[in-house]
Amino acid sequence: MDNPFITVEYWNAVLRIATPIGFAALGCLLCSRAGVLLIGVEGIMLGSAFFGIAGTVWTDSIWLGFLIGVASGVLISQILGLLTMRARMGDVVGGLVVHIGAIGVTGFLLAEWFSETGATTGGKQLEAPWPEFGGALVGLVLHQQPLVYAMIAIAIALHLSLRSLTGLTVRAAGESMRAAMALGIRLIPLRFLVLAVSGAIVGCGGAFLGVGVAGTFGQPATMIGGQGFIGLACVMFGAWRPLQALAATMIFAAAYALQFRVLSDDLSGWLQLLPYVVVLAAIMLRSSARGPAEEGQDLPEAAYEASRRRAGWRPARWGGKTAVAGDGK
Amino acid sequence: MPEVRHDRAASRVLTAEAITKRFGHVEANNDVSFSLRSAEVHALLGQNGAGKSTLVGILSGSVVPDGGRVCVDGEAIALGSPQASNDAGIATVYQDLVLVPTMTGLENIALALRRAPNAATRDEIAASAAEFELPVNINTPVGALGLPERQRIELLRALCQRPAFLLLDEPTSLLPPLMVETFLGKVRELADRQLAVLLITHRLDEARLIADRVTILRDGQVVAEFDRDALPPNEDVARLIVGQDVAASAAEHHAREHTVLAVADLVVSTDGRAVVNGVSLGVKAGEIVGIAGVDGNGQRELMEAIAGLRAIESGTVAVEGNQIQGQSYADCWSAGVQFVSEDRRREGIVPTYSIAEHFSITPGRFEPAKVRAILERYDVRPPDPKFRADQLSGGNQQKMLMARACEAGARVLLVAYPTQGLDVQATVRIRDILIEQAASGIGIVVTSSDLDELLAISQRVVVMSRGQLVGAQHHGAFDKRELAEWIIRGPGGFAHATPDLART
Amino acid sequence: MRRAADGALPLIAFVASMALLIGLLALLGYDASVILTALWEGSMGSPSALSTSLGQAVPIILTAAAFWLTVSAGVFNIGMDGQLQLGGLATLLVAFALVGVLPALLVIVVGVAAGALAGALWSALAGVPKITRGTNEIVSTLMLNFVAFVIVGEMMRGALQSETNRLTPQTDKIDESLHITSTIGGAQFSWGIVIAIAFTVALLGIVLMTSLGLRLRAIGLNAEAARHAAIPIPRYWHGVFLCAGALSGIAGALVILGLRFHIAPGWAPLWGFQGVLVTFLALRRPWLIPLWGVLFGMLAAAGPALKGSASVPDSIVTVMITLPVIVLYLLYALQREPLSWLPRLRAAGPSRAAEAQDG
Repeated sequence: MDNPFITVEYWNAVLRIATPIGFAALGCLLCSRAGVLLIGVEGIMLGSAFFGIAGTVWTDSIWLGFLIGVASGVLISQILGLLTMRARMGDVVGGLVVHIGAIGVTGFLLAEWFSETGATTGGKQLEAPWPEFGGALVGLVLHQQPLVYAMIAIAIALHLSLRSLTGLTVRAAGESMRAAMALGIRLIPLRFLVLAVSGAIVGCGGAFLGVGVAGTFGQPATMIGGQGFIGLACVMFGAWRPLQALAATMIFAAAYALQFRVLSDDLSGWLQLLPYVVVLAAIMLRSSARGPAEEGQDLPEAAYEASRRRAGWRPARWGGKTAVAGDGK
Repeated sequence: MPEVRHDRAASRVLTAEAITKRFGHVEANNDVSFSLRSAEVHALLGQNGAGKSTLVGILSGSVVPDGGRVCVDGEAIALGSPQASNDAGIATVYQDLVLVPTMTGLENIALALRRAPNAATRDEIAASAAEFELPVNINTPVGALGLPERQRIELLRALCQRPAFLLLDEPTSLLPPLMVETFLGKVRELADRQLAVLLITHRLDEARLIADRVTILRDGQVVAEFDRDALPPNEDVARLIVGQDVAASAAEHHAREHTVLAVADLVVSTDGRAVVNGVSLGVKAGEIVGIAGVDGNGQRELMEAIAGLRAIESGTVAVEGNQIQGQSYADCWSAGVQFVSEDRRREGIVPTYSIAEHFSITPGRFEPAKVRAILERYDVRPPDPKFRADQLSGGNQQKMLMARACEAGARVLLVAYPTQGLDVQATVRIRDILIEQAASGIGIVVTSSDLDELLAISQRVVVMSRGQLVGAQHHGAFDKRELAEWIIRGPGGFAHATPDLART
Repeated sequence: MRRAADGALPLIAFVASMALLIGLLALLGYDASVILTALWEGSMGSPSALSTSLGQAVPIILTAAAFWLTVSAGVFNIGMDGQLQLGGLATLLVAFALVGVLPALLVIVVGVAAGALAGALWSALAGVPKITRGTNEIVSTLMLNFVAFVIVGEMMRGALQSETNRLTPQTDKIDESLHITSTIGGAQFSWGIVIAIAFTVALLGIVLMTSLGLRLRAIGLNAEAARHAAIPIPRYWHGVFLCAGALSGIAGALVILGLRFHIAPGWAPLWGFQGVLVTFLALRRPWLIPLWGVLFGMLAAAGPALKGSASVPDSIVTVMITLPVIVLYLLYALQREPLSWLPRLRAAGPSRAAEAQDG
């Protein structure tokens, strides 16, 4: 094949690039379906990329490091939940604050624990633990980094579970908080839970970006480079469906990978534009698909009231009668 | 009717004891006590704002009362927990249906049953649907279904939970009149199967038809309770419900010859469906035209389209002879078309803004000094332009919004459900305002699902059904039965039978 | 009383989070007094430190004003950084093209106008799809940021690469006649701060005190109610996107003319994000945007000193500006939650009662 784009290397690169974006997209998608607009996606990725690298350095095991990265993703998602729901920042403000805060905190810890210039895993790779066989073309399918398969598995699992009872519960929260509450669904715990799962998925992407792709952690402000937000765009372009979002991820990754295939100096710099322009064109031209009806909306006051009641707070007196409401637990 | 589950469900009783609930200054429920027993239909009667829906909310666990107890078979249940109410055997069909629109009937019901939406669940739902004779399509997203079918799904959802107590909040308000009787028959049948049914309604005839007991709620308090046999004549019950006679505002004939609004062959579509389908309507200066019909038959869309708040597919709208179709609401406003929505909180009030600020954000030029005079004239309390509008009561908000529309140089005033959720005094005042405004030469279009209200204030009542106007009657020749018939039969029965619609 | 306490909360949040952070740093083994000295020395300790503080405050104030404008109207344009960089690029090009052709003052005016235009157009690129097709403006403005960064970076490395200094990617500096600086006490102070505050105050005046602004804010508070009050929302939103972009573009222009004088790597750190944080701190007291901007500028200027004399990583500055927002919202939440079960205090807050009306 003389076309430089239709090579095994190119598609290997596409898959490697698609994986972090894909994880980000799937995490955002799960959140979206539960009504949470995950603007903090890059903050979570940044944190898990950093702790993925740091964990690898500490434990000297790339897989343990990866797990530490994922765990930090969960932790950050819970902080995000506290800010958006408990501090009532709302998804956008809380997400932006986590995004900016993650840049500051990882930058500080990087300099504090390692050095200003960056930390590195020292060339360790998240390679497939099974031997290569059958040549490059077979390897493209069967000898990828394990997380590539994990991403696809998560996409399929999400696709299936959105139709299960759990999925219905999550979707009800995203489509109509009122209907969900009338069915006795507790919105706040549900959102925290969804955030935790999403945090783990997005954390996989961040940690993979750190230990699997880059191998180093340099400038926090440019480390993720908008890949989390591209993931968010994939959700929109993929009409809030897991498999379509994954397909969208592959398209954007293909655009992303082009810049590494063109060796001409004049062009390669400008080719960095390609993924962003493709994403912009995609979300601007496709507007027929609608997201969950209440995506990104603040919780209703009733959800907080229910949560306060369960925490044992008694409603205040209003007028003359003594309040005896509340289940008092 | 065979009492199939008599053995299983031994007679059970749901009691509410001294329920109290306030919203701000409004006492929605004040010391409300009543009981509901198996195998009875207990009708809870009251007008809008009497506190019926609040009580349903409390029983079903979605509203937390300030005081009182809810007991099932003598045992108090946890309040404010939909789960607890559900576990106690209470199932609810809400007035404004709470189904998830993007999910299918199967998914909605499975969610409520906490079951996976698989084939087994589908079969079971189908079996229940057959058992209760509720024909439903459970494979289409409910948002794409008509309101009656959505309501059947919600009813089926409640019945699939095999409740002991079934709460129906204004179940007939969404149904075309023809289906009301069938539906009530179904409800009666459910009670005969040992179910305890609470039927919330503001319509006495429905209660009379199927209820074993009737409790009347007014201003948040129980004012009377009757057994079926002891139910007094209609006039007496009506007085109990309303408390005082709503002044039958005499709609004098102020209509002049001059036509202010002329709508011709108007078509409005949403999602490819014509929700307003070739409507022609003329309104004269000084005339109040009431648009009757079941909610969701295009009344709202018609109003919005006239006002420029909704895109028009074809047809013309002319005010004082000038065509305004296709213009923005701002332009229509300047041309003299004002629209007052019934959803004050969502579409009327800007949080934190004062009354004066609500006037100054419109294109009309309101001098601050004049606003106070306007507020006094329209009886807005307090008539203080600096008062925050979101802290006004619902009735005063409505008066303020009406004042804003009328005083902006209205030629045509469009009002949707003018008295929805208002107390009696505010209702009277709002109706008076409408009649005064008409007298001053404005053409007014009012839509409401309350036929009596329209008959009280309108010079002409037209019936809208499935996006079309199907009949008209003039003041002095109102025939409520015929109007109801038109509402039932819809456009099919009256094709081309209403020549006077377009011209007047 | 309540209102006064309300206004003081952001300041309390700021002081508390600074104290918290410095306490944490002390626990990590840093010397708190050295940190405080470095903060002071780096931001106000010398004329040059002060000039850096004010110079950094310029883009922060303007991007904060831009973001506050969009938030007031109910949209989130977070593309300030891209708009700023393109504004700076436009100004640079005007400066190169027109210097010597036109009088310096005129070049400066045209340069600022070009910056504003570039920023406005870049903002409209996100605004038009948002208004006509409902494209999520948060994602699109963020993507446009990256596009702008690449464009500016590639121009810097390619067409505009300095001929005199080819070792590192950077552009030539603009002619000295175009510098909008005055030397006071041996340091160059940028007039940009005056211009930035003037623009910001003008914007605040329009939005907070005119009926145009009243309508604009009505859209942000309840868009449906605004629509039913016959406010043409699309028209207002187009204006908002253009104005916000113009303000960010002006920020870029003033940075080129008064602070950096050329484009080099790292010439525009993420000021837009700092503007976002300023907006959240000043949301209930928007007139304080310039003050918060200066404060943030001081912290940014103190970064090198922190790193140099206290050897604290300068990323701590980013934490220092983020934490107050978090603390502030936690304070708001605390203020709200206890009120709901302390009956006496709750009676004093009428807003809730109003929320529940119309039942």
